Amino acid sequence: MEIIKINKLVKEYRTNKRYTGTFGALKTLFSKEYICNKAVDEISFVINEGDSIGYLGPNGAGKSTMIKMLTGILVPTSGDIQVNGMIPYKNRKEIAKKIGVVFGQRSQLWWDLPVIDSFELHKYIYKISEYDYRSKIEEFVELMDMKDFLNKPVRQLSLGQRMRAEIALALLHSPTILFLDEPTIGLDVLAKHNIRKFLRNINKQKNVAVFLTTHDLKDIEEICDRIIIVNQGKSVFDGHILQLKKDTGTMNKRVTIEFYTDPGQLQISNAKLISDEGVRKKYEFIHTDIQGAGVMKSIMGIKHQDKIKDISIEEMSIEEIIHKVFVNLNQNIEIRV
Amino acid sequence: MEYRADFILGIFSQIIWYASNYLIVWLLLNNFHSISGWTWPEMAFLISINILTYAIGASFTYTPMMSMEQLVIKGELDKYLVKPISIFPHLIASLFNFGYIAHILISGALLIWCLEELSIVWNSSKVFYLILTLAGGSMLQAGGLILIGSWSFYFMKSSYLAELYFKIKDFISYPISVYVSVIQVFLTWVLPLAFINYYPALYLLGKDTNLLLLFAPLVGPLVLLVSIFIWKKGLNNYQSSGS
Repeated sequence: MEIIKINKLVKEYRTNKRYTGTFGALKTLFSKEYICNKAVDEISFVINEGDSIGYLGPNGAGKSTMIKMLTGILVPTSGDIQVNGMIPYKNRKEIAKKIGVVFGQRSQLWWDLPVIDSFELHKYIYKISEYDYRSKIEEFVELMDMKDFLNKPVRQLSLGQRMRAEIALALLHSPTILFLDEPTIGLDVLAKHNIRKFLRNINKQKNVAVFLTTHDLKDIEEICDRIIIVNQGKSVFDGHILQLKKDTGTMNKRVTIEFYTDPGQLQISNAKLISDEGVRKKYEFIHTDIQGAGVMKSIMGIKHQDKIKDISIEEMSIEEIIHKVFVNLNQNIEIRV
Repeated sequence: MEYRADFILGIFSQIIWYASNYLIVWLLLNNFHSISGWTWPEMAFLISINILTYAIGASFTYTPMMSMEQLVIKGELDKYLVKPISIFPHLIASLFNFGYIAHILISGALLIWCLEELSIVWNSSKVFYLILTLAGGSMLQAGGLILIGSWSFYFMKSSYLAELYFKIKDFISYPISVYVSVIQVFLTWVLPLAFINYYPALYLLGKDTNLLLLFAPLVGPLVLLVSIFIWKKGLNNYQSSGS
């Protein structure tokens, strides 16, 4: 079932044109010129129930703007937008009951009150039944290990603890979609891991759709099945991670072979040498459809088998893939300008 | 209320500030006996109504509306916008300020003193009118602050406007008949602050018998409605901030 449907959505920010120089500030004051900045430029996509979407893009690509339009905070300039069959900015209250929102950089908890008080208030605002509330709290406290700080004022929490509380709060009313804007920003490795595990769990077992923006690609790898990449307001990729790998030619397996002694020049069928340090040689396979078994076969075919000390087969990490995509994007932009 | 020392200090500073306000007028009238026909208890009546209605109105709208600037510039309004309740009441309720209790105590006490000093012939309609005056005045004061808050949606910064507004509001500590006619017109038709205390006082103190004065307390609810309407219109202009 479709829960989010947007079609040619545009959000334009208008800012006064600013002038520099001695009288620039004065000129700015009386100028009526505007600069239009398209933060979201004719983006369309559909999201189904239980999907997990990573919304990626460089800084200023319009990621937060998209989340804000989907949650009804911002009014789009043009285009169609539907969340749970409703238009977010027009039906803000009804939408709010069915979605959960977590802003990594903006707390929704009451700063001076104990965490549990924020939960209680949430229960009251969202009209959650006592029974549902109790069972949810119990479940989240257990899953995210929140027992220690449930009664502490929010301002005394560590960032990791606060983030767990934020996510629990956003899920208390059993939303069908959870929006997260950079949920793991500034967290340590362990805290990130716990949050990812929890989100994965919520998505797979509770069938809550997850829509997240992040700069930490580990988040995407562990939580999301589908990624949408945006740049300068435009969507440049929408699909499964595997598809992205195919599109960018980064599916190819790489193999590093370590030898006891330098075997000299060495060819592997279907692969090309990408780095050679004598005893350590790195190859990349040319065809995308060569799997692990194919790789093994090729390696078995090489000479100097007795000199091989170690073999490792690897794929390009998502970090590298996205890096490659972003670099390509920047190059394209330079050409356009 | 989470910061107790701050709360108590705040109350003390308010008491001193407003007591000094009364003191200035009292000193003035000790020398001149009356200002354009208004005696000390009558003046105290004007000031009391102004402060009392302000305190009631501001309890609701001062903190949220003065925070608008920050809420808009820093994009903190976001968290109110993703809740399943109407944003305006939510904002008012969550930022309700108990700190005005000092205003209410001091101006309430003085109002009661004035009412005893003044030789008003009370009947049920006059009591009703006084209650309406206080209610309407509170709404007008609340509405004035909402208008300042709305300004943030269009021009981001509103703190200078707030300063200007409070300076203008000081005018109604005196009967507006002491000012030149431009200011009188301004306080009646442009920024109708004179309807908070001056016009109702004219009727209650029997200084004027114009029947139109009976409608003076209705200006408050009108201003409040208009201001909420403008605020809600402004909300569509909200741009949030990058994160």
